[in-house]
Amino acid sequence: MRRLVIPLVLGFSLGLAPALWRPTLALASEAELRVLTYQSLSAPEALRSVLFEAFEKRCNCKVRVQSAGDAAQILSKLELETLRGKAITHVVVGIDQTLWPQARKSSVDLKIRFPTAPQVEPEAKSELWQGFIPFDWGVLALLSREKGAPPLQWQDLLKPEFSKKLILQDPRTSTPGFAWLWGAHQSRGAASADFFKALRNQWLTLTPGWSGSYSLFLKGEAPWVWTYSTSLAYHLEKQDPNSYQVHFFKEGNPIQVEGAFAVAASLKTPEDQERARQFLEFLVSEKVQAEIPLRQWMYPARKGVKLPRSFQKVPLPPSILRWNPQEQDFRQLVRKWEEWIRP
Amino acid sequence: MSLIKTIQSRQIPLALVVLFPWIACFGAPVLSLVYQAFFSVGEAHLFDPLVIAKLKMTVFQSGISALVSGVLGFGLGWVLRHHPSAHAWLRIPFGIPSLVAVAAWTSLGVSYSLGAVIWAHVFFNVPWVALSVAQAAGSVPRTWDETAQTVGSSLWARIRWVWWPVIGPAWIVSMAQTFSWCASSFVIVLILGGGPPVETLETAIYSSVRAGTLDLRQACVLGVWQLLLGFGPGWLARSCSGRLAPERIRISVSPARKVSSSVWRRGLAAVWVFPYFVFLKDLEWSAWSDLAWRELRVALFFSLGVGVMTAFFTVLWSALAVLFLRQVPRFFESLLTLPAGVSSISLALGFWLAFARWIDPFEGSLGAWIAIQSVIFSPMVLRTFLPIAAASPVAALGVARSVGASRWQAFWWVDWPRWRMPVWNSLFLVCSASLGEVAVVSFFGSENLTTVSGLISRWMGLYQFNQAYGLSALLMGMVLLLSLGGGFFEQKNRDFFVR
Repeated sequence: MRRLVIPLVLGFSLGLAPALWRPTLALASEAELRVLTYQSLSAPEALRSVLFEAFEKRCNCKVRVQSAGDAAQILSKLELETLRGKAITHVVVGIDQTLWPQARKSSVDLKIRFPTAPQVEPEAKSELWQGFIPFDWGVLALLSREKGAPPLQWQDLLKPEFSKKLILQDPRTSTPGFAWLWGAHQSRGAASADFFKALRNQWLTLTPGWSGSYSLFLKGEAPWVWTYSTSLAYHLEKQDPNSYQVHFFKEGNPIQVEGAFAVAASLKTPEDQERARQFLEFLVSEKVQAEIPLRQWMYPARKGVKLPRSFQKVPLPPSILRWNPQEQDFRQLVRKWEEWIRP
Repeated sequence: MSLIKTIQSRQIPLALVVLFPWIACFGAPVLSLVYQAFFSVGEAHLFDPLVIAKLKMTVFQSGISALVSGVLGFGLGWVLRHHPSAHAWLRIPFGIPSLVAVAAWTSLGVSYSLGAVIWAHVFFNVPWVALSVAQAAGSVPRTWDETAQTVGSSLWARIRWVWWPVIGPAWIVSMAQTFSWCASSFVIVLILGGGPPVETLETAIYSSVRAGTLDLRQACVLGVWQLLLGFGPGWLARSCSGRLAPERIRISVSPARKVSSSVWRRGLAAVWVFPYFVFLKDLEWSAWSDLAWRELRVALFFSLGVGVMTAFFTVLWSALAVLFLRQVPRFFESLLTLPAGVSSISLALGFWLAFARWIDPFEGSLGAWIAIQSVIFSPMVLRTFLPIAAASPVAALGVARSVGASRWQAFWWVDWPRWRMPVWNSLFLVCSASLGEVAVVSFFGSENLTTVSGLISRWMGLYQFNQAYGLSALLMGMVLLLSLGGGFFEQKNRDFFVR
């Protein structure tokens, strides 16, 4: 009998131990700011110390950061919180301008003047973004390590020499991937359906997120990757011996503006709202903005921030494409795209 | 009536202990899923062209995979029918977690296409079909074929009347199981498929909830199709397996001719195993960061804990279910083994819908992992226990009671020796299956709460292959060790019965 009982008790205890682990968010303590962001933004080499830890010291409060994969997952997480009636997030950091129309209903405008102020870079500014605080922006482009003829326009990507040489991101799950979709859609207009039908045989793979596609590119799986033009600055800064080139399209390249916002449902007290407002103002302060280039590898939203030399070597596109929420809708465009690429 | 009798005979606690977890972890999730597919907010519906496109892709890839596996497996099984020593090689792929297969095929450059998905599925399932066919064919008494030859039967007539009645159902069942397995395959499609347009119901459910923008209605509609796709082959398999006479396919007492296996036959069986070890050449432990080691330690802790808990609960519940099933109609046996046909992701989605008030998949849930995995693995254990319970030594137990042994003492000294090895074998096998399980772990996992398989999946999603390969090697080692442990107890069990 003892031979049976002892292993069972041991096994049960061993199994029970992890159940006592409490990785989930603790209940709100006295002064706490709960921030939801994507994984790479909260990493130690990204903004963790200069934003979250620095703000913790300034406000004398606890900043609890929760990561949710990437930007699209942030939105899903937020929607789930609303559906469950358990809003716990105070501030969301890292959603882009294309997801903003969906996230807007969850937000509260804390009347921060920064988005419309003259010190914002024109690329990161829009009158339509009340409540959305832009903190960085970037241009999406093709980066290559090949010296061959680059694609000059979107249509060139259908040429046989690019077959299975492109690494892109899934537009449903990745914001750069979605920028690819709406950028091409804006440029190709009515011909989009045919363009994407033909393009589905050209890419090597669609990864769920940007980091996956960039890892594949660095591993040498394909010579072209859809990424931020400032990725070039990263390689220059790290003194990468490989030579990389950024290529823009004649019709223009999409830009991505990342922003933050306060969540209405969880900011119940004036103290909570004030803490969220202070955090958002800190995010666009000169101190944090100066850290954006070498930590986020994006352009800061604030004008006048001195850019590192590597950034000055990154070319700018001849023209940029802007997301227009009044003419384009995230879900509808994604649905259309799914129909276009359907086998 | 028997159920009422059971309740009347003061067996209520047993019925409750067996039925309540089943209702909570299987019945309620399935009902919630179906309900939400029709009544929640959203545009998707059962015949939405995009949903149908994903259904078609699922059926197509599973159908082709099952067909190719079926044809190749039949041939392989026929060739190896008299060579049980080669069968050992065919069993090895059952113990290989699908994540390890993904690591192996990516390291060999088989990736980012529908072809890669089908290739991986075929490679996984040919040994399964072959083993089923070989065991069935090997159980056909030699005298049957010889008699048929003596009376002048043609080869076709012998195949039709001697071999096919035994091999046919076994082959069809294994093909149906292969189809079902491929239709609910998650990580192979997710990583090797290379993203849309290679998207099946399973990966689309995951994207609708966890990876992209939230679309619950679409996830539920996809889940309903996935349920139908799982139950169909399951029903076919069950109805065919009814035609399989157990005494014909019991390999241990096969009267069939046994010959020593030639090297090429063993090689033919081993071919289906070697690719899974190829990625070991790419291991590079020095490239691991401190963070990666830290994540590994935490994941290992959770993996082992969840594996042990899942094994414990599955075996305990199955043992109680066997006691319960002795007193109720056979219908309940079919009911309790229903989860065998349900995909992990659909069940995870339903579980979350049923208990959304308490569980947030983004925060992770250990309880959900253990509950869903226990439900998924319970039919396997239940089917192991049922024949043992059916052959209970009633007379010996009666004798023990008559000489003054208590009910518990009689069980312990008379019946338990028959149960001991299957129980240990099941504990090892469920623990091993739990270690390799990735769909539920991905659905209810979070950054802080993940297992070894969840971590491999995450690293593969980020295409950090070096780290993923290292971890896959570790996972394969653990799973094979546990499977060997299970195999050891199975062998001991056979020896016991032979004695």
